[in-house]
Amino acid sequence: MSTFFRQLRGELQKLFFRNRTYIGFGAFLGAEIIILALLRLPRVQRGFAKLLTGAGYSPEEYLSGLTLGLTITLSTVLLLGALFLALVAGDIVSKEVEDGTLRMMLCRPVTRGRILVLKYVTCAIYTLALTFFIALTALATGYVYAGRGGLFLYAPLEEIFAVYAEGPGLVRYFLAIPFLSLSLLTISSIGFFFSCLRMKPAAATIVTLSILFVDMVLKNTPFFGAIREWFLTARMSTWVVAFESRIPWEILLENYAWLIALDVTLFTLAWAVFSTRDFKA
Amino acid sequence: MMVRLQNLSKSFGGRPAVRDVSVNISQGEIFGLLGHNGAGKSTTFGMMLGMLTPDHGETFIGGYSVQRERRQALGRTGAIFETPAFYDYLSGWDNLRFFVSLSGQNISRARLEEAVALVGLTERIHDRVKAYSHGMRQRLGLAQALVPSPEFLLLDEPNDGLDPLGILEMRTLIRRLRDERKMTVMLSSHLLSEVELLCDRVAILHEGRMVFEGVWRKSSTLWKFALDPVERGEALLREVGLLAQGECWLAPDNFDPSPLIERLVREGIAVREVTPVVQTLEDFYREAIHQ
Repeated sequence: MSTFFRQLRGELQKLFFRNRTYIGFGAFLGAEIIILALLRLPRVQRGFAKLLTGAGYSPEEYLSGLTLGLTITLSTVLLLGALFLALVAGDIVSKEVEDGTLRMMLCRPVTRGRILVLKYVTCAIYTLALTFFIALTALATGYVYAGRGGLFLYAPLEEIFAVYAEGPGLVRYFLAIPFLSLSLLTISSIGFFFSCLRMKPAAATIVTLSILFVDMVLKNTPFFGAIREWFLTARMSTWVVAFESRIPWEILLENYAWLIALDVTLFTLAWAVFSTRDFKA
Repeated sequence: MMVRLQNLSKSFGGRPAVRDVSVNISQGEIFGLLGHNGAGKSTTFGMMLGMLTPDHGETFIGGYSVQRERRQALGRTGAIFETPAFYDYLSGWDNLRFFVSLSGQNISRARLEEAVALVGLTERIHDRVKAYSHGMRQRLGLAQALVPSPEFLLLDEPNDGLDPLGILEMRTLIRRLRDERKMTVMLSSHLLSEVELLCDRVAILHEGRMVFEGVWRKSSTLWKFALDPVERGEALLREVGLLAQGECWLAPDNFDPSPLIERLVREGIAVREVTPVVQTLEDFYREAIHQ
């Protein structure tokens, strides 16, 4: 095994052997169960059925596990995802500075750049793991609750109304998940950047969340409708366009290129700060 | 020269923490860095380990600059800096494996086990660090510093938290590392008696400045005399070149009092006491920082 992968294994072990890492996974499972419990309410079911019948589709066919899985993912991922990714990424460097373990790492013949790359890759892997966990458990709980059937999606902000049979619906679902991961990686990148600055872990998490929430509020403010696509969270919601009947690849590419460029910029700034910083006891 | 500190200076917010410190340490030497809290020891160590960037000066380990050739310089170094911090939720073994992986070497399990045995942690190495005592953490810190077989060992307060037996073991271990592996050791400690027993040379830092650097030996250049009559006796002591220092008299190195006693007796002065006052490192340290 090369040195990099041995070191990465150590970083992953540090992250995944820590109880706190699993709060996010547990919270999503809890949220999924609550949403499913709410969906049992007759009033909610009637609203869902009305929406489908109004569009000329049968609720029996489209009120399925796949539809519920996507609904659960859509309704939980941005808020809860932001919270738990900001928590983990905001901790990743600053907590080690606070605990003194970073000093132990810096005593070693390893460059600061290597340490940062290892930590960023660990954040990215955590983001990917959490996204797939959310997507798969949402789908599984949806199937257990409502069984097989087609996919129905109504996302008014993104102006998407999509209906698919089960097979093509699953393909779209799994096509959208990697894009969702990339969107969530932006949250991790922001948390990571603040974690590299001279601030407490909690402060890094709070600043990250504040940025996202302010951005989200501004994005949803009617006055700013004309510039909605400028907001970070609007770009992060682009993954939903993977459900449009004709996938607008140019929009996907443009927005994800923008988000990746932001990730690279944040990493570069974090590296610039981290590599010149003094680490005092 | 194994370690060279060249005119190191560092300030924090305009307040100088280390001012123009230069030290050379030869291979196989045990060197002690002494100073009060805030004297600049940790800042000096921080610069030696590349955690702090000096405002002026440079540090060389094994001929490589820590500031410009970090990997080569720190590849020859094992360190315990401040209180060793570990991931409490991981076992001692996992912690050790992680920190060692950062050395970039592919280190065998046998070598890890050897280091664990050397510091006496074999039985508890698979326990979570959360359950370790301070002394055990210190030993684990030493194990992680020793595994990559460094040529230079930097130990910041290695006896911190150790019981008397642990202190004795640590002293024996440091001597063994020097004698058997020709390792160069630089250490700081508030236990001056330990420094006295271990170190070949010491440097004393006070308010960021180095007020002493060199060989320190337990010496008895101070003497106490009880003479009668006092005035005549003291006049004679002055006459032979002794200098009054409080209640004692400062004599040259290798001073032999026998001829002086004979002369005092010949001159009719009663000699009731002649005692060498042994100066410990603690006395020397106190004097050095008050000069």
